[in-house]
Amino acid sequence: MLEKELEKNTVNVRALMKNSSDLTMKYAKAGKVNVCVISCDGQIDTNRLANLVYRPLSGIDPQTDDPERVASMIGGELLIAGDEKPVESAEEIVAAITAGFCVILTDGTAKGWAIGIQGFETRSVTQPENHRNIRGSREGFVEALHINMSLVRRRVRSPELIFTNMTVGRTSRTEICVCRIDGASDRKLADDVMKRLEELPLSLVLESGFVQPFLENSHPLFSEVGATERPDVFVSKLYEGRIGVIIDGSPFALFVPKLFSENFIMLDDYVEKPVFALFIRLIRYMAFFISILLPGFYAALANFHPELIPDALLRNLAAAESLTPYSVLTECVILDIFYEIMREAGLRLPSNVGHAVSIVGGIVIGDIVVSAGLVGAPMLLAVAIASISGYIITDLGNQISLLRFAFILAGGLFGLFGLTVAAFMLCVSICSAESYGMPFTAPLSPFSPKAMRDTFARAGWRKLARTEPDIFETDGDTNENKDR
Amino acid sequence: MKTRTGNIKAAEFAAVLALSRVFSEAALLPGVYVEYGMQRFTAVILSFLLTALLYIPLHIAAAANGGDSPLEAVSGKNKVLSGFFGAVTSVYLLFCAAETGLRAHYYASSTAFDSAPSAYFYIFIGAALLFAVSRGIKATVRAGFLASAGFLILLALITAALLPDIRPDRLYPSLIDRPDSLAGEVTDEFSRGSEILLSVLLCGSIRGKPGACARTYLLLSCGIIVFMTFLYNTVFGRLLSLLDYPFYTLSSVSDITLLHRINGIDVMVWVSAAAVRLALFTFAFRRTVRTCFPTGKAADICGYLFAAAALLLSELFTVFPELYDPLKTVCSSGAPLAAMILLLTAASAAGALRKTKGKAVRT
Repeated sequence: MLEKELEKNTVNVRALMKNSSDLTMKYAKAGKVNVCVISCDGQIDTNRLANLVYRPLSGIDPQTDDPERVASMIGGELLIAGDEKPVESAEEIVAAITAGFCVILTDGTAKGWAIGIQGFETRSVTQPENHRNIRGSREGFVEALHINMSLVRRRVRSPELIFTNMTVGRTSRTEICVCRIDGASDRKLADDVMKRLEELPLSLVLESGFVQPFLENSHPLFSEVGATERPDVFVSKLYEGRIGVIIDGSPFALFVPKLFSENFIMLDDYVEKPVFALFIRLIRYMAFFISILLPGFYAALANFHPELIPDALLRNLAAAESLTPYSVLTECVILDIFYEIMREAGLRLPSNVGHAVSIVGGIVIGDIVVSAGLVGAPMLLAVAIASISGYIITDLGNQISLLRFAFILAGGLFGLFGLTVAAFMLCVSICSAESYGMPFTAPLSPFSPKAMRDTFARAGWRKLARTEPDIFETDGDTNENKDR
Repeated sequence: MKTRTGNIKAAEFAAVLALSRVFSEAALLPGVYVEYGMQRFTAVILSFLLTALLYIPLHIAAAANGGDSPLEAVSGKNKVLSGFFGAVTSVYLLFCAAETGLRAHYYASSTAFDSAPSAYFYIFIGAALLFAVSRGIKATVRAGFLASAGFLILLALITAALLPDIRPDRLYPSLIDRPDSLAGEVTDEFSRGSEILLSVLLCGSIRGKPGACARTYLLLSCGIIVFMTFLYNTVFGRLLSLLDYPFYTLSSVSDITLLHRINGIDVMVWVSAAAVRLALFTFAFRRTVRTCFPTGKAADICGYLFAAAALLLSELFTVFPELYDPLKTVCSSGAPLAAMILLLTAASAAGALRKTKGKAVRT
């Protein structure tokens, strides 16, 4: 608890902060009473400090000598700043100043006031890097929590949108915000998310990826927690009854639960005609299967079941493969590993160098390995088509890479039989996942005819507008999940 | 009649059972030849009617017993009776599972996997089976449901590709053209439908009214098999008598643009179906053991042992056909399945009777 002597309080704060260099303490007089303004350098806006704190303090009647009177003026009568709260311990002062508040302590009172004058540098709102769209908003989340909250609030100007702020990370004390829409979301689900966040055992939370595993149910491959850079997508998820989590310092907001079929749904589907949405969604599903299965399928057919390939194509494939020194499986593995190396290099490098890598990888290596006779052109084509298909579903990029490799081994070593068993095990594995009581594969399995209006196909807006969107109907039994 | 609150939707489970049933139709046992022609329609429909007729008393008894599984009705009250029911059911399920492994192995090695060693088949199907069992019935049924959707797509593709070859003039208005063999065909067809038992034994996991799953399963599988018979008859005509695997042959002759033939895909579907069927028998066995014997958590281990034993047995049947032949004769007569249904009916009726007496005493 704070003491009445100002000096003791400031010494305690300085000790708690381990005399850190960015701790600033400005002593002044308000009337005849000594006050100290404590802040963290770089966390506050100095102009706001001058205008919203120093100026009102200097305006206090110079004859005032009652510390309680000065404290009550700071906390009540003076219009200092919109965001102010009382602090009553050195720990609270430290928490406030590290969050961008300044704290005013008065000599003779055991209470201080924290004033919100945050002024740290933030990135401006720009177009999302990973979740681009053709029509619609160009705004993406940034790293600052309060800006992200405002981006969400601007889209739902209703009291039903509820923000609940929390602090996680023993050392980083990162602020996070749990969002939900009252009436749409399941209260139990929100409580479950809050409980998991409260029990977060981390010291440091620097990114949403740190929190995500604690919201998941530990499926080894797929995440049951969605992440988006787009406020409009985030709001639409909240509107469907999901719980959102925004983490300070991360431009990705999380939402739960997330279903497998959502990986194939993009915002643009809702601004185009339903027939285009149907077409493009089917293309995405097809691209997913092509991406993970095509090289393995090709290896299986070429190695074990050539009779399934049309004769004319088989002759061409045989001619191309006869010129290469390696087996089909070896070629396939080499090419896939090359591709993954180039992809990884392209991702981490600056964009101008990344282009060079693309040219070297795509044209030089691609052309040379075929003309040098190291791999056959059909195999290169199969891996290239699979790789490009994988780019369509950005959220599953890593999973696709891993699965493609696994299917290459299964198909190349054991033919269609190996491919079948691997596909069956993958299917069972995905079907066994649940996201907060929702089957991960819903609404495909368990099948929900009602949810089909926005799964493969998208119904027109007139039809969609007739009913409220509801994530829980995808389980096919709304009554079991809703507890509103 | 109470509504069950299991996790699996009745219609979904019925679709998986239908896939399992159609698998038995597509992957015939070694040495079994099916006679097609118009009489085949009669045999299929009569076999499903026979199943329904046998199932109705079981359904009524189970409903009187509150919709519980028949085994739950006898378990715990009388240990000897419970053990007897459990042992008979377990043996029957083991035989069904072994037969499934045998069907799948024979089918795979006779078609696209002709060059693969036998060990590969058992190692991989065993791995798939153990994985499915470890992930639980919900995951397996959901995966099976997706596989059944895959089968329907395949069937639609084959039908579309063969549309020009379908000749309705090959159908003729004689539904019984071999009267002396009709009874045998009906019982043979009936004997393949062990799935009806699965719908009863696993009813605790199914959501919805008792009987909904069995009803949907019977209608769905009957419809699909009749449609497949229609395709065989209209596409192959008299040539049908020469074919071991009509569905495989059907997919072999259907040209789909990208691939020359889709029989490889056909085999993929049936191998998945076999894994699902084996897993369902394992779950049913696990449920039986858990209900009828005081095994506790050991029932899970028993499930894995059952799966391993089923595959081992099917390999034994493959290597030593003389072991399997007498069993095949008995089983294809339909008697064991009919006996099992009657046994479970008796169990349900006993449970219902006990409940009625209990109520009377309380009154």
